[in-house]
Amino acid sequence: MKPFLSFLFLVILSFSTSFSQGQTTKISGLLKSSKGETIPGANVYIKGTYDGTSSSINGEFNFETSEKGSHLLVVSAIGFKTLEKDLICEGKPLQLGLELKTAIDVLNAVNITAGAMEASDEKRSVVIKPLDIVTTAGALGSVEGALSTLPGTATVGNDGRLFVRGGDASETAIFFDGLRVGNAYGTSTAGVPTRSRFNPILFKGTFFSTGGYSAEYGQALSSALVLNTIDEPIRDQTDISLMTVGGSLSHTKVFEKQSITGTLNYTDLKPYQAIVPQNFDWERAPNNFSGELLYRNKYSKYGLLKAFVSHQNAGFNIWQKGIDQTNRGSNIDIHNSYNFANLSLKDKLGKKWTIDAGAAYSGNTDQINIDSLQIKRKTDLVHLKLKGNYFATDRFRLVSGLEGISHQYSESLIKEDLSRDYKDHLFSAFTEGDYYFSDQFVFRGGIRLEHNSLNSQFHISPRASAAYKFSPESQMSLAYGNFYQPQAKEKKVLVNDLHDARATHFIANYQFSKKGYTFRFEAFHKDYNNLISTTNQETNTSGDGFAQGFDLFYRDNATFKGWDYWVTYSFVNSQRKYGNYTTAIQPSFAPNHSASIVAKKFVNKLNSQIGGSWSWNDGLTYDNPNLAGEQESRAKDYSNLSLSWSYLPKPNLIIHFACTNVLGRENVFGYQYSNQANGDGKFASAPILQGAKRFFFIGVFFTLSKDKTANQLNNL
Amino acid sequence: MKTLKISFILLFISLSFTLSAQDSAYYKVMEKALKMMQENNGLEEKQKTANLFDRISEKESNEWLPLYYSGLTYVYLSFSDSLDLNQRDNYLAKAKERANKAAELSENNVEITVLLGYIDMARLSADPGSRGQALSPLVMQNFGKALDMDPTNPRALAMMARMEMGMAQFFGSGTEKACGLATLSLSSYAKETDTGIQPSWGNGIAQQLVNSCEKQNKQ
Repeated sequence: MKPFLSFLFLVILSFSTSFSQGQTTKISGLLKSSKGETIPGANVYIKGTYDGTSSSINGEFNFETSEKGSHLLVVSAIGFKTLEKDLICEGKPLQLGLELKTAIDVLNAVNITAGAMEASDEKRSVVIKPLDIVTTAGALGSVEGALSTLPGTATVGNDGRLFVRGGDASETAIFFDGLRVGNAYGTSTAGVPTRSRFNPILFKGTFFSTGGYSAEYGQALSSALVLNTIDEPIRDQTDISLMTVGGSLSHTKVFEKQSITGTLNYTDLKPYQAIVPQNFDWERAPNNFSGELLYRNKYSKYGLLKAFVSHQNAGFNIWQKGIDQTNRGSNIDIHNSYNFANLSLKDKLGKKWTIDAGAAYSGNTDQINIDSLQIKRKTDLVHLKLKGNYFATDRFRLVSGLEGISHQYSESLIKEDLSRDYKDHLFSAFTEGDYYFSDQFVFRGGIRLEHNSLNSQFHISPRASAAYKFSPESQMSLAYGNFYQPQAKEKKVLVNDLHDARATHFIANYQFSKKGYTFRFEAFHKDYNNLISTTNQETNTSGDGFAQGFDLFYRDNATFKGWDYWVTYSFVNSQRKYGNYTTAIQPSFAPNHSASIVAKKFVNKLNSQIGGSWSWNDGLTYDNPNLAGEQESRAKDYSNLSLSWSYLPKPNLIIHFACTNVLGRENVFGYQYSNQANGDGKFASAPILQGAKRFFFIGVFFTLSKDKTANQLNNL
Repeated sequence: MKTLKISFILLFISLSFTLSAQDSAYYKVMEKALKMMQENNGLEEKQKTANLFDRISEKESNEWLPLYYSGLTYVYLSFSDSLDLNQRDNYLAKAKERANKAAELSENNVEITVLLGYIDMARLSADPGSRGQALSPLVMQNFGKALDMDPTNPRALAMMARMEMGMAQFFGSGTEKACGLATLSLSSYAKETDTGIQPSWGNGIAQQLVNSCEKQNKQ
């Protein structure tokens, strides 16, 4: 009989739920946003039960619950803060009117675009994507080459570095994972273009500011270029490149929480120059050997340790013939040895804090022989940084940090046994807050304090910016800031306590972006103070100047099927009284008008990506001693059309062709003049030309991995 | 006779226990939600389904399945025609959040790994031009990881086949690998019998791929 009883018990048990239902409570209501709009699709339920429903198109909801007593009603909807409300269920129908508060979603909310251009795959309102940096024809895989097709930059063809809004190349500071890079470009001599030391494939995101940037960055008058390296490689692979200018070999090994990549590169232009005629008189073509090691350790859920070490050895030997010189002119021999190490750590502390800590070292040694003169220059830069992000609410975020930068420079004449040097220590503290009044309006205010040991100067740099979003497509931003930068090493070593140069920026920006189109307009004014002045045999910081103008950017990848192109135009009016000029002049690196067009298309039929870029400016200014005034003349306009073609016969093999200055235009960057007037009282002149008419490049990039679709498109 | 009686009763009791497990409130509400999911319906209905799975996951905080299905529903939501890129990304962010939570509850779960790959694949297809290069290796990695865990999982096979098909079409290379994976996937689906509330979706994807492979062979 017992088994029967237990069976009966089971039956009763299984029915018991339906018996106990009894009286239910009806809950209904209406959901509205704080703006009075109804909210459909919200999840409305009693916490800890299955009882609940979704709000209708009209924001209405109603459901029943058999629960009794005090409970918590939860309402959650995309774009709103979750609401919790106490309820007492006792059978009586409950009618509720509920208001949900908008949640600020940083991804979709307004963001500050004044002066800022970000290359990111994730965020919108970006002007370019990381891939653009490597697929822009004419850039030849250099970060600065691609960025110089963006608004606010000028192409100075005989220099190669990045020039921003009437500023010289030193006014752009380069940061690697938030830490300053010393000697970011290879050592060169006047008239021979250089390029940055890092391969763009290292970086997943690039933040490029043409002014008014965050209080987190300092020591640069015009611009900050922030390069962020990839977090984690995802698979084991070996990359092999063979190029007309050299080759490289790279291997990545991925472990469960760690990964390591080792790379060896060798480039030598000697064989290339033996085939393609050059304007320059090379004794030994530029050559470069480098090795890199990249290590990642994801030691906890949010913690990531990144380490990067690289060593480079580069050099060349060139004859430069001045107009007064005979034979081949002066011989310049350069040997450069460069070490860079960067260690950074990112982690989360509790729910509201993230922390970044980092240390970087750049060490540069140049051995330069000019005829019989032997010069040795050495620069060491150490940067330590600790930064905390505090996410107070969804509306307010605070970034604060401390930094120490130690700078050491020495130069010596070997034969004469003469040398001079200096050491400078900079301490800085910064704090900056972003406050979202709504998802349409954000304000950012910050302050940066800096102290230099050498000139004992203490600076307070305020920064402020704001952005307002008129519609999902269009927004406007404003930015203001004060920026300080130490004087050039070559000057500081002469007069150690030179005051720092200062710039003040005002920027207004309008941006319109719709799927497939981006339009951007930006106007700026920049004041310079305490620029170096070397008139009357005296070095001081009495120079000053200004730069102002506007730039336009339009990108479109929707109108012509498969095509992606952008067009930029920049106008800059820059006047400076500095260096050995006694009047305000237009600097040689600041042409008035610059323009560029970049276009690319993937042609599926040919398995190829083809691209072209054209850059133009109205010519660089120069000084003609035959005319009255300083820096009064302008070279003819500069123009360069470059084409590239990447062919992918197999997913893991790329063959890349590129050619710069396809039309073979003879660009002139100014003129050099004889030191003495001839019989007619005229100074003889010779044009300053480019190194060669064109540059051709052919490369084969091969990737070996278990995943056959891996390729090096990022490398080009 | 007595033993027979006892064993009969034991059988009966154990049967009623299993029945009651399948009758449990959790199982029932999951079945209801899965039914809602299978009815091919509009954006509003899909949001309701996702909400229901979310409510279940709130109560059953140790179960990975409600989170998993909520994530999957958000992926389906992101495919709705009327959406712009922002909206698609919002839905996919929800999907990812849920899939990650599910992965915390159930480690090394092949189904969740496939879902994570599927989410990235949806993000990729929302803006292939600019995301293809960055995301396709991630998608491949997740599907590859899923196949390492279980080489016969039909969903892992089907999704990998779909990705391979896309790649083959893009590079104009052969579709043999994609078609082979799709065929394997179909036969795995055939072996998948009554899964209850366990994942069983994706048969249509494999079937579609196999159909297009057959069509190609005939030409």
